[in-house]
Amino acid sequence: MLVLAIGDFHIPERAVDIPPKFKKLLQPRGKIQQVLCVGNVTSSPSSLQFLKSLSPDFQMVKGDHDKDLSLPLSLVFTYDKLKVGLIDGFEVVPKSDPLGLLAQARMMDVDILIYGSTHKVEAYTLDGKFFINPGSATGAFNADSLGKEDLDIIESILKEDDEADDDQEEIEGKSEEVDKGEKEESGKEKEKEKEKEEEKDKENGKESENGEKKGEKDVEKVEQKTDNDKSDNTESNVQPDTDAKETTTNTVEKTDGGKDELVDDDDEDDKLDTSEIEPYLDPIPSFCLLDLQGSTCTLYLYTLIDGEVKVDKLTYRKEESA
Amino acid sequence: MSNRNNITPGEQAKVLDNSITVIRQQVALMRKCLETKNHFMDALKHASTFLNELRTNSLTPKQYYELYIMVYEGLEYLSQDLKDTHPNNHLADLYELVQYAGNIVPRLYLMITVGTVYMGVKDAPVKEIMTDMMEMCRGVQHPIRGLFLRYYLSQRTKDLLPTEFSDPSTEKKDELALKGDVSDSIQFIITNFIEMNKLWVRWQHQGHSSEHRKRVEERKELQILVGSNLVRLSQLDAIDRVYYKKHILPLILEQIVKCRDLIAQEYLLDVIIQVFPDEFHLITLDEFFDATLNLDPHVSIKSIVLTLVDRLIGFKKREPDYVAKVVADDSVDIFGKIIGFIDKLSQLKPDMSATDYSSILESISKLSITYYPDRYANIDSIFAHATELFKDKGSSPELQAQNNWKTLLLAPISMYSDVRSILQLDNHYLEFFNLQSYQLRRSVSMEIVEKFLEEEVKITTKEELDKVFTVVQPLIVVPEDPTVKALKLGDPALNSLPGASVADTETEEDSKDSLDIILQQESLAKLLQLIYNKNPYKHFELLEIARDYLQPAKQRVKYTYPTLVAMTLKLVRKLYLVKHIETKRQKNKIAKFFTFISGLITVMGQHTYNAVDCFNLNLMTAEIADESKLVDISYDFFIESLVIYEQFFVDSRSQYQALMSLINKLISAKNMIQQNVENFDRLITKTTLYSSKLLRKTDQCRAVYMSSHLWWIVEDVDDYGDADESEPINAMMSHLSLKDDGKRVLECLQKSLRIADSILDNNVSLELFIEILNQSLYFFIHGNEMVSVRYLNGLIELIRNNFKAVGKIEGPFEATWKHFDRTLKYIREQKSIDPRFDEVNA
Amino acid sequence: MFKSPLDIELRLDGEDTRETVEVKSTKGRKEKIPLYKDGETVKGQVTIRMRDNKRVEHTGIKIQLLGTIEMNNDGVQSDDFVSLAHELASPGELRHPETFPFEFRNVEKPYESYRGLNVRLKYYLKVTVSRKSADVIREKELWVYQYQNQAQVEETTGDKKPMPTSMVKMDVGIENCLHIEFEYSKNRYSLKDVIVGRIYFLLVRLKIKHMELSLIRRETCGAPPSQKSESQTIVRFEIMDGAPVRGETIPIRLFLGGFDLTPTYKDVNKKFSTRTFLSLVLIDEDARRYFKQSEIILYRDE
Repeated sequence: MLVLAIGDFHIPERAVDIPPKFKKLLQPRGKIQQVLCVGNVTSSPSSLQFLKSLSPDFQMVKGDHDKDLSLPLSLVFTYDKLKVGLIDGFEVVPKSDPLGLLAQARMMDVDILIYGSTHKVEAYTLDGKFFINPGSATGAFNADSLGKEDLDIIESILKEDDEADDDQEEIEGKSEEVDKGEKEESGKEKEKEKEKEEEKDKENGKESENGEKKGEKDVEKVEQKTDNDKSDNTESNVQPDTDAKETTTNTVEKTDGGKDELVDDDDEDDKLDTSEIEPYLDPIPSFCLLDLQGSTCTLYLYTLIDGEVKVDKLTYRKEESA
Repeated sequence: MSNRNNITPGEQAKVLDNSITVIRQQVALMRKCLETKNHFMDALKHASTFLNELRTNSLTPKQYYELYIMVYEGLEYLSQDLKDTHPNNHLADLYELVQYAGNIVPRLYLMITVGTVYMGVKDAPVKEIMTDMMEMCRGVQHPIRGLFLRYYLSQRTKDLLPTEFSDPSTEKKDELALKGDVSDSIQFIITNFIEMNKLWVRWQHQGHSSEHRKRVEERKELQILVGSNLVRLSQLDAIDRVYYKKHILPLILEQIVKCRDLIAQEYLLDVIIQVFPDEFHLITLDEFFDATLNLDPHVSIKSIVLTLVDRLIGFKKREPDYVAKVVADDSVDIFGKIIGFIDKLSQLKPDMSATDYSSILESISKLSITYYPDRYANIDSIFAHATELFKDKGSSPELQAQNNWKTLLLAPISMYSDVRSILQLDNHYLEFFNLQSYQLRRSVSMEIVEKFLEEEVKITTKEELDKVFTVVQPLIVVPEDPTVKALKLGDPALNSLPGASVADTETEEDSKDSLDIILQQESLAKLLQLIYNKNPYKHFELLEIARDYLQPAKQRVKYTYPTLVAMTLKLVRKLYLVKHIETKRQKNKIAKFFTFISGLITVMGQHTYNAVDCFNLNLMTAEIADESKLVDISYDFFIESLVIYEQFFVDSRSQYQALMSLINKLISAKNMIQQNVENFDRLITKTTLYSSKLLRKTDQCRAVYMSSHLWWIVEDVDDYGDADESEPINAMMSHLSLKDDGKRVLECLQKSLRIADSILDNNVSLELFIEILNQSLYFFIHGNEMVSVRYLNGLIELIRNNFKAVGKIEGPFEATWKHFDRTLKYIREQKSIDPRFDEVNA
Repeated sequence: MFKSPLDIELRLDGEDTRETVEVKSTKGRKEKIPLYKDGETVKGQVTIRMRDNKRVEHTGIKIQLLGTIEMNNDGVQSDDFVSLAHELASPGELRHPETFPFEFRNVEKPYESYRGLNVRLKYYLKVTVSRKSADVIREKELWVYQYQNQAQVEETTGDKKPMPTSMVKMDVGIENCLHIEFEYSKNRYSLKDVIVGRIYFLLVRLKIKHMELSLIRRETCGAPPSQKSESQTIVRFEIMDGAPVRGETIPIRLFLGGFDLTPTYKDVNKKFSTRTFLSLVLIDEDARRYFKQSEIILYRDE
């Protein structure tokens, strides 16, 4: 049984459309038996129509921005030995909190809980249950604070820029000390960044070959390729990294302290160019396909990164309770 | 020879059969004679006999063609035999001999057969023979027989005509006079063309006028015979474009103009366009257009121009380099010629239909864009014409005309490789656009928007934005239900701008828009997202301008303002990330962004049905403001959402959902907690109060226990610590406690317990108890000491007792019991990883 | 009928190699007749053989060369315009086959041979063996051509007001119906010539189906008032198929050499004339014929 989990479109308030590459992948061809939508789509009739075209069995819960009050807040489906719950997630407090979600799953008596609202694609097991957030299909802007990973990247880009700017400003001999400090900082950041990239590469290695076409063609191929994965490795690799706490707080403090006089004029404002950080501001567009067989759920996470569709595979197997 | 009009199709079939039999027999006899010595004269007699069948008057052109094919094959034997067996000098005599044939049709076929063999021998007086055959063919004036005879002439001479120009310096004059060169061939073909065309045209006027349509059909069947001459011409490699312009085209065009026949003119001009090379056309536009202006009034100048233009556009694709050269050469002003033609056209053909005219303008604008993509003035002048035309007679209500204006307007949109080019178009485009009916403008606007979206082009300057909004204006100001009213009143005047404004007393039901309008507004909102500038301040200015343009949409801003809000918030985030919200000046500057947002929400808020949106937008803004450490601004927006909640949220369900959103947003307002906890406390107190005031007890209970989270806030600095295989204890360590009012948490839990307990339905209370137990576990795990083991045990005990009181677990209780069971199981499992759970009685 | 006791053979010198003219006899058979020119000597032998070897008595043998015009104008009349005779033998007895050479030197043959409908002009040799009883006669026809060059034509035709040798141009029509102009390259043609011309249509309201060119020979004999004329279409030649429109020009080309034409003669020996007319015939859809005739002068060219 192939089930599409998708949601958080926010068309047209925050996004123009589902990325064309996704649309191409999702073209109605009768393979998807059910569409589960985690909400936030109703202000766009065309998007709703598109979703409904994908499968005659279209199910949707109400998102916080959906105005249709007749929509249910939660739905439960049973597929063979698996029970799957569907919620938007705005009613889980704190939002996307694992313990909150766990309680929600317990309450709904489901093995798999699909939720949305954060626009961050993720999937993990906790306490024997499988939690899936298909993310935002459109990569819609989200007012929730950015993930650490994105913040780090933005930070490092800005650092590089500063260095370049500072090179110019050094001629005028201004505030060398601050610059030095930042340079060191950014050096470290860059190293970290590199390490992270490498880690990511390792993790992605197996999947990276899975281009768009293969994913489109047949999900089973993906499975064969990635079968080497330990089946208990249900960690999604589309997840932020650890240990970034200190750096953020540091930078926050430092910037609070120093730079006032440096850039305080309208001219500087006019020259401002934020295009470099642009790509890291919006969530990565994503959706999920669930292949449900017996007590096993094979999950395919589709993400659009730098214009390319990536497919990651995770497998969840329900523990047979004694 | 009887008049074929009096003949039935059955009789015709008989005649055809007879003729076929005769031809077959005579061809066979002729071949026999050819194979026998000294029977050549007999062979000629047989040939003459079967040729007599071509004298028939009883057949349709198609049937005649059948005979022609047979005769052609028969004569091919004769021709071959002549080639093989007859000495050169004999052919001249033979050429004379066959002219004794008493009937002209057989005589000329034989003459051509012998003559063309003669042409093929060495040193033959080719030119003389050509001229003679051509001249003698005049004797056949019957359209069908003449056409086929001349087609025979054309086919037979095909590979025999001189193909090279003579070199006057080397060739002798008299020899040239005898043999001719390619110019004679051209003359020959053109003459044949002219004569055939005359015959073809004449066919139209044969017979009874009631058979007009039949004639037309037959002529279409015959047209290829005439056109083949032009094909022949086009195959002469010696002809270059200058020669064509000087010596060929004028003659052809003269005939086409002179024949004054609709079918011929349309067909032949089309053939010219199709068979001659494009580079010829490029230098003969003047001639071509001049001819076009002198045609039968019913000729579709439109289709001719369209065909030509299509060819030229295709040429650019096939030979981009050549065209580029031509275009670069200012002396060949293709567009100038075309527009000159349009000018003359409008003078000379004032009766031309608006649809034709606009189709021509459309195709010409496509051509201009293909050839001169940068010359926006061209397009402008096309639309100047269009405007004039429209003012003249454009308001024709017919649908066809409407569609044509539309395609004309869309031509630049579909042709420019970059849709932004349409923003370069000058006033005449807009003037013309604005002359159109609302419906039309709207659909053109939609197409423009779609194109922008498709190409994902960014709108980055004020100028661009102004232009874009001018062309999408119809999407903004929507006349009230124009379709309905137009239908009811049939008054096109209603298509103009609506006069009266919408009454303020509307309900949501009143303002329900049709799907069409919703889709149109959706596109508009999407379009807004193309507004971009790498500089967030400039970007913001553009958004302000957009707001000004959108304002007249009145209540329909509800579709577009949320987009502006989201875009502005994104700018705020950007500025924050690049540390541009730090100094006082910067903060003042950013305040304008929030004022802008506030203004947008306020406008939307004038309509009650936007309450949910406004509530959400305020929350979103509050969240971003907090993220940007603008905690006071954040507070204001939170307050705004509370105000909306109080004023407009009336039903329990939306109240509950709003509170969940509110609670979550408050929890994430981390900077406010740190920087202005008084404000924060005011907000959460209010929120908790709202929770306890919900109407339905289940909602009330849940909202209250959810509110407990407001008093116990940990920053989840490790986004996925929970998914880690590490100990929960460690996970806890990575949480930064922002608020830890354990007492208030407990109060909330207790209050929700009381509410649950007061519910009469046991099962519902039980379910809520279990939910509260789960909630309590959360705080227990997070180290809220007020939620102790004792407290948990008490809760568990309470639930157990209640179940006992229920007695047998059945019906709805079963599910509740299972929930309880799952919760206990969870507790038991926690014991293995968290020793604090040891004492919990699960 | 008595059986002739004599066999007369008339042989011309070089008869086997002499050019002949093929002429259709009245019975439709073709016969080949030796050809002579004006002024040419007619020479040959006459051989007379007896049948059954019987002696034959005669009162003289002569040979004549006669030129005569026959007309079946109420019974055949004939009129010799040439009459030459040679005595071959004086009266006597023929015991053996005997051959007599003869020669008419430089015979003047003023007219051309002609076989028409009512008139026949012929030259012939006549051998007569005169006897007391019935004469034995043997005849042999000679064909005579009169060759002329352009200059001579006028004289022979005896035209008093001769047409100049020039282009023939005519403008004819039916009011409000048809108006054509036609022209022939000239008005006199040698018999091997070709008629070239064109027809220009100025007005066509007739539904013309086709157009022919005919050559008509008119033979006139006798003298007024008992003059008799008869016409004969020698050639019929389609020159146009279908109906032209105004402004159309149709070419005419007719090779004459292949037809049995007679040069134009006027008042041959005051007895007869042969003239040839060129007739342009238009046939309309209702099979009505419209024609215009004009005379052309034909002559025999060497």
